Amino acid sequence: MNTHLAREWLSGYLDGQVSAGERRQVEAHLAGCAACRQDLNGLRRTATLVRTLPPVAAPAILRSAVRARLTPNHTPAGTRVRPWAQSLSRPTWRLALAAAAILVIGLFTINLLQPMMGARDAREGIFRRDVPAQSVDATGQAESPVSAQRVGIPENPPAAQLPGAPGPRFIFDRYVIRSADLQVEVPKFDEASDALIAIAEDAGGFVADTTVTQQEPPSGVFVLRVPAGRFTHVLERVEGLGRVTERRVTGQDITEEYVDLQARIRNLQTHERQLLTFMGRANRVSDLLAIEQELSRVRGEIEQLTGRVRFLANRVELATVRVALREKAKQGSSLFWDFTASLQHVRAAFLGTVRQLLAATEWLVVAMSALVPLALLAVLGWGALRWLLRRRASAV
Amino acid sequence: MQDVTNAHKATDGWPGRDAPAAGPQAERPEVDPEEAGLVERSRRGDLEAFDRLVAAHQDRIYHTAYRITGNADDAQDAAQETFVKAFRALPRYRHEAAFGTWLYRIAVNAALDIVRRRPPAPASLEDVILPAAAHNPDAEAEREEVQRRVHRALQRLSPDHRIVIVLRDLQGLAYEEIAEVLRVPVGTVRSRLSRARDALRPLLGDLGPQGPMEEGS
Repeated sequence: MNTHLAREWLSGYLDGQVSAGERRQVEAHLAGCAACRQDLNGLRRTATLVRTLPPVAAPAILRSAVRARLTPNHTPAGTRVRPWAQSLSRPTWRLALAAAAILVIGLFTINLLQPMMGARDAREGIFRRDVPAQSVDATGQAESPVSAQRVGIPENPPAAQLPGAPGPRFIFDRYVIRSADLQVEVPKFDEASDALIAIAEDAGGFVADTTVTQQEPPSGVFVLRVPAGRFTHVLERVEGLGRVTERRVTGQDITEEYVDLQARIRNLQTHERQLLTFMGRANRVSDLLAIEQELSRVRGEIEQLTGRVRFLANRVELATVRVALREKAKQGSSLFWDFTASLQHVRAAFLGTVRQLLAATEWLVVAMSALVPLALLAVLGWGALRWLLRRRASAV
Repeated sequence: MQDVTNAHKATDGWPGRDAPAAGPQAERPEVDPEEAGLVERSRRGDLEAFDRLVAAHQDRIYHTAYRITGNADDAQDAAQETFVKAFRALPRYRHEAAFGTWLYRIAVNAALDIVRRRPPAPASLEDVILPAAAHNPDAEAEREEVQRRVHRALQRLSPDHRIVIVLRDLQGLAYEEIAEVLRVPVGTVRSRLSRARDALRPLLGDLGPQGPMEEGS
């Protein structure tokens, strides 16, 4: 037996962890080899020494610390419990996820319901004349009530006050063309159009133009001409027909043009008279022809200008009220179910939720980035504390 | 010295253990119906059941962690980590290994994590946990001195060697069980354990029973 046994056979033999064949070989070898016997004894002594180490019982705190770390929402009683590890435990995560899901679903639901409720409110009459309602944009007619108020309705048509001349001064002082554009939503179109004609005629005016479409819902545009003095009165009555969704009142001051026109006409008439006297004195045919030509030009111009004056006078005398009548849409339209509207609601709600989520994410990122320096500081402090504690622990 | 010898002679097993039966296999019953029930309840999140499992295994796990990490603080960290990880990993536990073996695997890894993260300073005397003093002060003092030396010698081994010795000679696991814990072939366990003992032997050269052993073989 020159070759000694493999060392791991010896170690295994010591532990009884060799096969029967190996065991016989080892025992046969050991019987004749003092060196290997020595080796085995050394190994056995080593193992025995290790086995003298007493078992060490776990400290009592271990069990409670484990329990504390595994109990959700439990204030750690043990010394070595790490609160963050506990806060990251699974039930907390689940709770957070559930909360987030509820939030998202809630947002979506609110977004889904809001436009519907808004639409109903609009139908029930948010649009009052005195309130420039915020939901005007729901019908795409923003600003108009505001601009109407800015323009204002002069109380005493057609002659407004002259600066520095208090009190109304009538007759020819100011010439103002007054016109109004109204969009009115009425419950019954036919009744409203009849009423409109009655209003115009009562005021001593007439309906100058009518365009009516009998689609669903029926609508039409009426152009009313009414005496300027009844303008405000007519406006009030028209607005009484239904809900005014748009209102524009303008007053165009044409005094300057009117006065200028009259002056020019007077000049031209003077000129005409002069020409006529010239013509009476003319001797030569060529002179006569020239005067005749000039006379017809002047007369043409006078015609033109007086025509314009007449037109303006008519405009000033008769104010224009354009009324767009529209029958109020019936609830839920003619179809059993308005699919496209629902689709639009869903789409709007979806986009709204996405927008809000993005906004929230942005806010979160901003908040987190604001916390980064603090977090760094906290990590540094924590590390330093740990280091100090460990140093003290190993120094004891 | 006398105690050591006697202990060895008496059982050829694991002195200091309370278990009546000697030998690694008898020590840990493979299938314990009560434990299986507790594991099943714990798997479903029953903290009460898991608490009882902790109570049943904490000493073994803590002792293992203590001998691997070398000091009480780290041992407690490792043991705590072991049970917390085990509880969270229980839903993924498929009984491919006995629950105890599975726990050992987690414990060894937890202890190894700590050892690798902070190479321990040489264990001081105060770090060595010793059982309460017995009647004979002299023999007790001598035995304690031996235990300190062995503990410190263990800490001078490489972690891999230390682990196999702890699992085999202190925890009494069979080679197959150690192989399962470490996820290595049994042959590797045998050779690694042999090398570990070879490495430990010179560190304990002047200690231990000499004469009686010679005669015993």
